Amino acid sequence: MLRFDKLEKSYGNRPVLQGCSGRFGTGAFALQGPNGIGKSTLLAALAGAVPIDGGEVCINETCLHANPIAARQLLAYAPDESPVYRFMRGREFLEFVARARGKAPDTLDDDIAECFGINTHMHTRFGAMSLGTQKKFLLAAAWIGAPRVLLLDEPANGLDAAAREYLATLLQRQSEQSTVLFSTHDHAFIAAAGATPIQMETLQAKSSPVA
Amino acid sequence: MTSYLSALPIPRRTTHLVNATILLFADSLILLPIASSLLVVPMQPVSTASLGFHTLAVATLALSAFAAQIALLEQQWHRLLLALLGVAAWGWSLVHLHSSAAWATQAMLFGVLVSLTVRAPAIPSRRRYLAGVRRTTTRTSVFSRLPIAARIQLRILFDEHWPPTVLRLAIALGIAGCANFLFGVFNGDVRTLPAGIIAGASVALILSGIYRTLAEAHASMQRYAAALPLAKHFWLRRDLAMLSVLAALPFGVMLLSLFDHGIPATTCLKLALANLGLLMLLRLPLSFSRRQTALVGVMLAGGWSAGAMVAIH
Repeated sequence: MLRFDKLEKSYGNRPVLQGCSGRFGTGAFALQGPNGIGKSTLLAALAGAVPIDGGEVCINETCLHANPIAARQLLAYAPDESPVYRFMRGREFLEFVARARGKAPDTLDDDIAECFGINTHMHTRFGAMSLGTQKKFLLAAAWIGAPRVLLLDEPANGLDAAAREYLATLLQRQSEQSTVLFSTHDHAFIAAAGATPIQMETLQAKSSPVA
Repeated sequence: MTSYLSALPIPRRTTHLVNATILLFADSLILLPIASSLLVVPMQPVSTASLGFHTLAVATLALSAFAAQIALLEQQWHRLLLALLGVAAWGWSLVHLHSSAAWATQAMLFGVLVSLTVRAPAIPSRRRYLAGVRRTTTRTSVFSRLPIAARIQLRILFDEHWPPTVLRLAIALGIAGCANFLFGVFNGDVRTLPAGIIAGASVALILSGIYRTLAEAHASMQRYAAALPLAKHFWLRRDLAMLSVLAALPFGVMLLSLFDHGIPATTCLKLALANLGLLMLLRLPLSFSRRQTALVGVMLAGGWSAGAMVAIH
């Protein structure tokens, strides 16, 4: 479902991704590794959020470089930190993502909004939201449009206990029909989500693990 | 980072000094003609009193521009308003040249502007003070019916950055109004169309600053937006459309006035299209040279005006 080959990415003279390759089918996969090894860069590169210097990313045989719009229709990405305009309200953000995916503004599953507890923040500006609430909106937006591949950067960071528990259940449920790749340092969360741990070093070593 | 900086024990005076120093360096190019005018004025065969007045006037003008910039940078809107009122008083004193009232106005202005420039702001700006407690009411139904991209642009311009946006629109309308007045004075003679061309280029140049406001706001969400299935140049195309809508009023006022003063409809239509073309062209400097956008913009508008003048002859 998600395939990437020989990804290269450098920041200035510092190479971060060097021949990074991997293949992931349906299921949940937890990307692990020390800080600064390139987990966030890999997830952003797979989502097309940062341009890569070389290599190829394909989702269901649709290549991100050759057919970016079609490939992005199939994936969803939630970064670690909120990149959303400070003035944007919760509902507007979800509407923007839904419109970008060609869906109606109220596409978000009521269950997700209710369980994350974001209904009360729909008219709150992102600049006035707590870190956890911003994160909940980013995660909720990732479920808009039934994506086939979910790329989540430290999804459990900043969430309260109830939201973490719900997210783990949600990831487990989603992994039955999609590829879910997320980065985390939390072993308990990996177990709760029923995810397979993947060490970042094994991808960098061009070992091309097939999961 | 701004809120983090404000939490550090850095005296406001230090921040103000750093802002002023950076501005001085950034303004070095603009200061050159002012400095040269201070050199040229003494070479003229004028009296000592006149020389003193001119020197004071040039220094006051430079200082008012500097005070306005620093007020804009520090978001001290009342200081910006004072600096702009100062320019109006400066203009008045030049009309009443050499009178004692003109001298007094210039001297008073100089003193006020020095005080505005040197003194650090006493209280945090209203914008920062209210940053965490902004209203959360919803907009009118008309606003909420607009496409989400247009709502984002309007929020950037009239919610987050309303003072520079309103100022730019007011200046553009002011130029259109002045041009309208000139068309009446020229009454359709050969000077009318060149005046219209210069006014159109000036309006486009003033409004093109809005591109930067929009582009800088979009930059924060650029990485996330890149992961969404949005069309290529999604914001670029929408920003061009938004600027065209905002420019419609000042351009419309000028073109209708030109038509009223005997300029043929086809010429007015060509000028309207050329003005819109220039407005779009002025987005280019932001894509290629972020540092010198203003300078490149002035050169583009100047070149466009010259080209248009040649075309009508």
